[in-house]
Amino acid sequence: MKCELCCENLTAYLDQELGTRESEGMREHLDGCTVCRDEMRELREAMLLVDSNTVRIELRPPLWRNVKAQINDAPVARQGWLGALGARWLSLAATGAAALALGFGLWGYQQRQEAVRQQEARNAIELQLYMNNYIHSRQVEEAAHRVVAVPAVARHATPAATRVVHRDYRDNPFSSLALHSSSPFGSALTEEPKSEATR
Amino acid sequence: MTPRGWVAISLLATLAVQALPAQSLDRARSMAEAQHEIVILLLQKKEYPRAAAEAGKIFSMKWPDDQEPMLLQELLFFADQFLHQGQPALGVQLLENNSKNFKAVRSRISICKEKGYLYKEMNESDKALECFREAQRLERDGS
Repeated sequence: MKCELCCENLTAYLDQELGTRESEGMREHLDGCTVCRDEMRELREAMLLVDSNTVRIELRPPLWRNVKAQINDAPVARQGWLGALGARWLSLAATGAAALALGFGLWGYQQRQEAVRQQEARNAIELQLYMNNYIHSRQVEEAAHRVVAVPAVARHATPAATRVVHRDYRDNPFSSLALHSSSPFGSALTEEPKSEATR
Repeated sequence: MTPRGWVAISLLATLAVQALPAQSLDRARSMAEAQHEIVILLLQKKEYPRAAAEAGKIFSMKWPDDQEPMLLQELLFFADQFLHQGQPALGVQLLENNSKNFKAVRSRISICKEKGYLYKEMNESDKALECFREAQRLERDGS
């Protein structure tokens, strides 16, 4: 063993903290090396000096009770209401809030969809009525044209006599006679009324 | 030339300019009258596609805006004739081809409705609904 290593391990050797093998090596080196032995002697003296001057204080029971009481009376750090709830409750509350928001969102969406459906249904009904009104008025006027076009005698004769006779080809709105009348179709030529739907 | 002469000339020119559209309208009416008779003859001869083509010529002529109601009546009359001749598809075609010549919203509404009616007669309810929807939209927007 070299002196450097021996000096490094001297404190541990004196405190008996080295292993058997290392202690054996140290002892052999110290037997043959006066420098290291002197070093060890000085270190041991220093340690004895420190030990001899150390004062051990015994803690008396009243003092210990006092210290203990003060520890117990020390104010506990106050936690906020969020802290009091705890992380678990906090996450539960967050989940609940999210579920509530989702529920409200879904409810609102359904309400809107329902309103749209109702509006579409109303529009469809309105459109159907609009169409039916026009078609009905057209059919009524078609029937009126047929009746007007059939001679009065034939009108009461047989149903066959009232077969389809529509507004016919005499109505030339551009004819000079028609132009002199107030109506663009010339009332002088067209005694039967033009259908409302085609006006 | 005296100032009185200039005044007389300008007055005459103004009168001539005002008379010109009236003359051209008369000519248009005369041509349309003949065209109408041609269409009627073709309908009687059951030459329906030709009748539709000839009818279209009336609406492609240049007409003043105030003649639009009369033209609309003529268009609807022909469409009606095609329907009664069992040719509602030609009636629809006539309405579609000539609707672009009508600018007034009321005219367009009437054309849409009549087209819808013809489609309905052809048992094409979807197309009929579409036409009435368009007419309804025009009425709503126009009001």
